[in-house]
Amino acid sequence: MKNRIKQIISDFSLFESWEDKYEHLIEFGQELLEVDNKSLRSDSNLIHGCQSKVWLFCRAENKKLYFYADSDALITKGLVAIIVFIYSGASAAEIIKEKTDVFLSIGLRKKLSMNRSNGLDMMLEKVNDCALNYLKNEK
Amino acid sequence: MMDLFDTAQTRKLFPYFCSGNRGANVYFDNAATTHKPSSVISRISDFYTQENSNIHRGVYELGMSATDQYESTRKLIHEFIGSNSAKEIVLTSGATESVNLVAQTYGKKFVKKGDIILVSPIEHHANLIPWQVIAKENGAKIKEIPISKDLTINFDELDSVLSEKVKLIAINHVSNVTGMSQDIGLLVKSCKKFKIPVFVDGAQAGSHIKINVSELGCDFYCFSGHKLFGPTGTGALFIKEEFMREMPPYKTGGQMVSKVGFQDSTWTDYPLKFEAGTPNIAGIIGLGEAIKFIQNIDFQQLASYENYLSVLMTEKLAEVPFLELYGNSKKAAPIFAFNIKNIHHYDLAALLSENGVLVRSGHLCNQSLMDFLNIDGCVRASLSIYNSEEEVYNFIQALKKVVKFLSKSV
Ligand SMILES: Cc1ncc(COP(=O)(O)O)c(C=O)c1O
Repeated sequence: MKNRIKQIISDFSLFESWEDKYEHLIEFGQELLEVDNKSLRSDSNLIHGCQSKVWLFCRAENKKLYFYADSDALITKGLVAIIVFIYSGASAAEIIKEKTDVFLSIGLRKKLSMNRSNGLDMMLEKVNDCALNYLKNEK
Repeated sequence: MMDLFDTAQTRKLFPYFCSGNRGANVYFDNAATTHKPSSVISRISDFYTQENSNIHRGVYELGMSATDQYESTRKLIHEFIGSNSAKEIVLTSGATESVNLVAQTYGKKFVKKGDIILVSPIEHHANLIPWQVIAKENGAKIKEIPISKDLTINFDELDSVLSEKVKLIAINHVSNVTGMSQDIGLLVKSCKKFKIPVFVDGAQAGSHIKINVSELGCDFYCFSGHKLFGPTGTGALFIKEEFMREMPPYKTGGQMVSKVGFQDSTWTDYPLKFEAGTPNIAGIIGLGEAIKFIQNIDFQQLASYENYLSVLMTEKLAEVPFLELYGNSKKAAPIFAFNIKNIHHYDLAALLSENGVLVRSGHLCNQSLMDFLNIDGCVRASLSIYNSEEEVYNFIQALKKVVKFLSKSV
């Protein structure tokens, strides 16, 4: 996971202008996440309170967690794709321990100061909840 | 009098626009809150530095002077909205508190089991949820005021929902989404037959059109200070005197009592019986200054300046391909709600902000209007007196750039 975080930070550091940064973010989302994933787009996966719709689903395999997501807005899809990319394949304990604020490091958190409306905080919270739930059920 | 066509001059009155690059942004989110002129800001700061004291209690001069200043805002508002007397004005923390006050006092006492509260399906949540709550508490029902496709009251169908069961009608004066106004005068007339009181949410009206509650004939009218160049956390509620008398208090505590025993107390006279506790004194005094600021505006010129901006906006928005504008007739305020085909409103607003254009997106606290329009949200650009022709051009330029950028990606 540490390496994936490093990769994202170094990828985004190549871009200066908002156009380039967002173009990269949007492409990242479109390449990583499936288009119109119907089974994912269910009410139970919906994160409430975001301006755009975000669906996030978590599955465990061999003690690792894997995330699947979608959004109806391009920017949000890019943001949630970064989350999926970073946290998929990590263990629950690793996820809970990880405190790096990637979005701050790549210069998106300050820009997207509408953290509440784009639901970034809620997406991260859901990832954390998934990890906590996994640990609870494991016991 | 200010000359509104001289925008550079108007902007000089607002410190926000004189402070570095923040002022260079195109601020088109005035329906959320307006900026404050320096007269309002310095009035608040002067109060805290030189006149600070509580009201309605101290017998010393400072306290009496603060009381006078606070009460003079009430008088200014009474003159500003044309009520019969200053006693009909309750000072509140905003439109939201005003609606809750009427729901929890008038509603609690007069809306009984099986009764009906009529609310339009195009209200801000502040003018819907308090009615839902009291209806539920009292076993009453919320029903819709019929609205036509053009987003105005459908007067042809209105009669069919009026009856003696209807205990209140709640509607906006000017929409926070479209800037369109409703014909309140005609609504009031239509409700006469069943003596149904009319509650008007004027949160979006005061900085754009002249309010006159006596001419409108409504029974309740509220607005928030921060949307008309005043401080946040301030507002006012007009209640016709005949209702004031009958309504029980809202919050209870200090300031609103005349006689207190350990088991029982009696309320002081209205409007103070609705103002328990220490209010936002500095804010209310600042609100008075905002009212003075507005009274220095010629409303005819205001209408023609804002109409000029609206015509320009409409014309320029029409140049953007696949743009759908919602409710663009009968505009009382330069507020524009739109979507662009195949582009998410959130993406548009986020990238506009990257380009220094500040607008709102989402359901705009008006989910039922979104449902009515069958959309899940939109972008809203809302203008005010200090916005210029040049800003309209900059906004459109940024919008076209962002649309081009996003169209590439879909
Ligand atoms: C039409 C309308 N009503 C009520 C409100 C609530 O006003 P406040 O937040 O000042 O209480 C708003 C504010 O957005 C509004 O636009």
